Amino acid sequence: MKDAKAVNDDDINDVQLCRKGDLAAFERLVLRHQKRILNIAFRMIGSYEDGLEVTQDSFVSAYRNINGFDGRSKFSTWICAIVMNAARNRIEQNRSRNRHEGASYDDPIEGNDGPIARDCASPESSALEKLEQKERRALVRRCIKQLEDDYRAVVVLRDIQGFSYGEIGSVLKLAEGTVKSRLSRARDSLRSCLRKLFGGKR
Amino acid sequence: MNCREVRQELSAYIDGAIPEAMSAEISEHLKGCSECRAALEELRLTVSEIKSLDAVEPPDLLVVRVMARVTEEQRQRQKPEQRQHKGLFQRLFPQVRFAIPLTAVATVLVAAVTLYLFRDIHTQVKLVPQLPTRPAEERPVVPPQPLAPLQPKGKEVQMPEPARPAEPLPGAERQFAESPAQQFTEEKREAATRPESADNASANAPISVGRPQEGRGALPAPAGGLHSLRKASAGYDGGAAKERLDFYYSDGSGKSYRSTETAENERIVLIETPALNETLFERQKAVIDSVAAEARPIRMVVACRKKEYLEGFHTSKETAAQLSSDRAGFRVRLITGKGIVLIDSTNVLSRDKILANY
Repeated sequence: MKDAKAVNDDDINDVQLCRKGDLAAFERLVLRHQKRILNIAFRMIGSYEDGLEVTQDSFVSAYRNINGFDGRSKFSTWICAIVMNAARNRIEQNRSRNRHEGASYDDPIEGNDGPIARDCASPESSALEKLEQKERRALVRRCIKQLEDDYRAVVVLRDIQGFSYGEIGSVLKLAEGTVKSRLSRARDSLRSCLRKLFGGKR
Repeated sequence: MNCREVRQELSAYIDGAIPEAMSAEISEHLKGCSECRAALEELRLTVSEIKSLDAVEPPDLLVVRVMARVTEEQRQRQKPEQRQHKGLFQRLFPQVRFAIPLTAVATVLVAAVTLYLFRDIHTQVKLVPQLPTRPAEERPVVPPQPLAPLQPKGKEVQMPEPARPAEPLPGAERQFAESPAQQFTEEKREAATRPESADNASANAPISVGRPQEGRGALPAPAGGLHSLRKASAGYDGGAAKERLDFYYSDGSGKSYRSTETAENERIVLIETPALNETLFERQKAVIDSVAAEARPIRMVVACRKKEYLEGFHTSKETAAQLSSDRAGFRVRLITGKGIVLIDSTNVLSRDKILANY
């Protein structure tokens, strides 16, 4: 989003090439957006593996439907909408499967420690601080996971991805007012979930 | 504004997403209200906690897999033309068409009996290397049959391959393209994409009782009846083998690659590596170690992009033998841009061989 403008211009070019069957152009689009898409999927679903799959599926589906992209919104918005839908479907699938298998609540999140742990912790923090940091993040992840899907979606797009209210509105097809009120309620709920963190600190 | 109204707007307030006049009003209120100030502070902390979550990095292979699937889709779109050619051919030679079902049934029956006997013998003699007995040509491809003994509970009779009758008609091609993925994927797709297989299985292969979804554990065993048997047996000659391998690549590059368990209690692990080299080897060992406690067979799927990436690959026969002695079975699947190379304890390929063939 920092360089949203430049990215957008490249995207339009590549989308047009893509429609002519230029696979290299599509590859550029994937490379440009994969990180954001993966992170949205990952934060929505809470599982890195599922996030990866959903990201792949979303790009494939974007390729299939590239002619359906009308250029009125940005390509990045369009692909975000695709991954949001795919992520919700996956969440639904996982839920119905868990109902059958009776999986534990924290199951899916366990696989994530690797990718998350890798780049946390600044070099000067002590072991104790590292542990604390790890626990804090685990708590934050759990709290985000507890949110209803609609609320998690606005938090992921706003606080993790840094989208504007308007962009969130067009990704989720919501009025800006709805985005605002959902975000407010989602943050409130997160605040009470995280309260013990703040209590410890101050 | 009273406290309740202010609280409702605080979230948008910290984002600067409300009109200036209202923002000023809230600031004014905050000056005189310590409770709302505390609420604001907590909200800010909340947001900063969420923002502090690190972003995950996409693995190198994400784009590879996406592009593999997309490329495959393009290829599939050109397929209908080929099918039409086939139809034309068969219209010109109608007798061929009638001959096929008979041959098919016969072939399936023979194959079924052969496999049945073959498997029974081999479960007694565990993990006998198959490679030396292979035909002279050295295609690094394992047809379905020889892998059967690797199945952990092979004594229970399973007949994955001949479970379906002949599919000599053009539509079979698509079915085949779908089937390999099912060996990896979970139950949901299994049921959805093989509506007719259950019937056929019971009709043609009565020996397949006792184990649901028996086809999934056998590594390359395409559940495609005669069609796939043909392709499998043609696995030693160039063109047909390539085609078959391509199918695996496209299907496998999708949902199927993840660490998961099959009905045979086998663990499938995807090893992602942009280059097949020492790193791969270390990962292999790490995977083995990490699931060692589970004491179940491991199947490894290795994906890479180009044959150049095979540079430095060095799974030796000794390595595989050692690994397979630790575990009940050991399989590695190499996926390159050109196809799949299967490596298991019965068919260990040298790097040179892989490079020569792919």
